Amino acid sequence: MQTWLMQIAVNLIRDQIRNRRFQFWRRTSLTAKPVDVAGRAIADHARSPEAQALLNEQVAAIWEAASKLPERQRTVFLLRFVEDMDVLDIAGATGMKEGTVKTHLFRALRAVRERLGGTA
Amino acid sequence: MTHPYSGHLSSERLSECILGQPSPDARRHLQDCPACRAELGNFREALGEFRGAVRCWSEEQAQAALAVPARPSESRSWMAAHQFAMALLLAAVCILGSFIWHGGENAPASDAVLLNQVDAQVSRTVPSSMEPLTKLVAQE
Repeated sequence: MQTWLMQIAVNLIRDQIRNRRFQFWRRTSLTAKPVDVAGRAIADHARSPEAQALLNEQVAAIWEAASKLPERQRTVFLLRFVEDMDVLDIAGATGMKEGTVKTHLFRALRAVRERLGGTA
Repeated sequence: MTHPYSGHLSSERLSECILGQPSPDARRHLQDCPACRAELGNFREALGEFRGAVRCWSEEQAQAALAVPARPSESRSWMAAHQFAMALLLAAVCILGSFIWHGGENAPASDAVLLNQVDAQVSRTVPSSMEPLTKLVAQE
């Protein structure tokens, strides 16, 4: 009984956190400049300065591409790749169907990879 | 599965790999193709860096949203309301104190008047309503 109640409490808290994350990213307009955000990338001393610079450029490009995505695609993309939520969790938080979440994710990924110059 | 011209994984297949759902064919191709493996690795690394950078940015945004607009105006208005309430309380205490003080000074005088009225009523031999009759009897 105690375990069951504890599980309910944990689920409620998890739902609350998911919804807060969802609300935050839904409201976020990504107004910061890509360079400012890329500057927050953790510098890894094992990388060469050139590799670090290239990575910073890529982070800036992803940011810029994400900021230009339609609202739903952007929200789904950020929940997946910033909050590490899986497709089912995103569907639960946003109220979308699992297939819809996947579609938005694929589209967002394609747009971001195109911005990065990935092969189509 | 693979791109028709390049022979490498298509965008859709790469997206599936990025989302952690590679098909068996894509998985086999990745094992044999260093170019696709490198591309996938690079993109995953970039996404990892992006995650760190955006989390850092979002924490700053959240803290700024909590702190910046709320602090100066709300704390000032709260202080003003607090001071106003204290002032009202002080004024109420002063007024009540002064009322009690003056009320205490007037109490002996009003008590004396009341006692005199009671004395006058008690000392009457005839009730006030029968006083006209007593006057008639006295005239006779």
